[in-house]
Amino acid sequence: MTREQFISHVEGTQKAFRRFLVALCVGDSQLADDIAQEAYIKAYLSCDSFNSPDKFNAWIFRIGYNTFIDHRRSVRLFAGYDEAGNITSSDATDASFRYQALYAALDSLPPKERTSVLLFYMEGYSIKEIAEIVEASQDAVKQHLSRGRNHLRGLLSNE
Amino acid sequence: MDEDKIKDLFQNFQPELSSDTLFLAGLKKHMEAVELVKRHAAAARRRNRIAVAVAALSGFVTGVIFTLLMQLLGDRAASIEFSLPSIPAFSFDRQIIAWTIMAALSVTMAINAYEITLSRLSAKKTI
Repeated sequence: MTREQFISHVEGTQKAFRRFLVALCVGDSQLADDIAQEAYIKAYLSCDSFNSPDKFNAWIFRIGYNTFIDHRRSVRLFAGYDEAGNITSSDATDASFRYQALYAALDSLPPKERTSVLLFYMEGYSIKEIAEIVEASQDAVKQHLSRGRNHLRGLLSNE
Repeated sequence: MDEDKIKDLFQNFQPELSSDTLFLAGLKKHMEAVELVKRHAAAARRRNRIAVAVAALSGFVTGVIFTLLMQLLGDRAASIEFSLPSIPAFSFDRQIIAWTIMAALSVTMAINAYEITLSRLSAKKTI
């Protein structure tokens, strides 16, 4: 993949990818942008060995998810798990706070469940594709979705 | 019903993102930095390969020269041995001493050749 081809793929995917990452980072758009940049750079570094341009979308989402997990691990390492878990929408840079309730609900989900829910409902991925992205079995993804749905039902009933 | 509500919730999710232009400009800047590092790493690998080749050649040439001079070195060692009093330390096989000296000199030559080549290539690149 040439540099130009890579940039054209980035231009085609960046909006949806960043939207997904903002939700994954429960509204912290600055962190989401940093993770997006890091994920694209990781993809660029290994794009010579990537031969399926039609799967670029799923590939970049997988890198993004792994980068997010790495970031969480490093935060946990330096700040402790409790502090990392307390990143709520009140820390978010999303100025409007329109999605406060949604972010709060997403924040209560573990990363794999959160990712599965977002990929399924927001990006429209199939269970098989989600299983490949989060590196889990299809049954596990179904469980994540079911649990995620229950959490979100709670949110909807409170609204 | 709930399923539709959840779908709507995410379909209507439009968070405020930073400018696309700024994001892409930042990414292109990072890509250029990565390319620069890649170019430097490739150049360093090339310099290292040349230095290793020169070192191997120097070591080989030194080894050949000393092998050819082995006879002469052997004679010198014999004359030293005869001029010294009979000390057990000098009762080693002359061949072993000569080969050890030759190996040490070849290795030293190869290491020096590697360092000199690498520093000359780096200096040339800096200029």
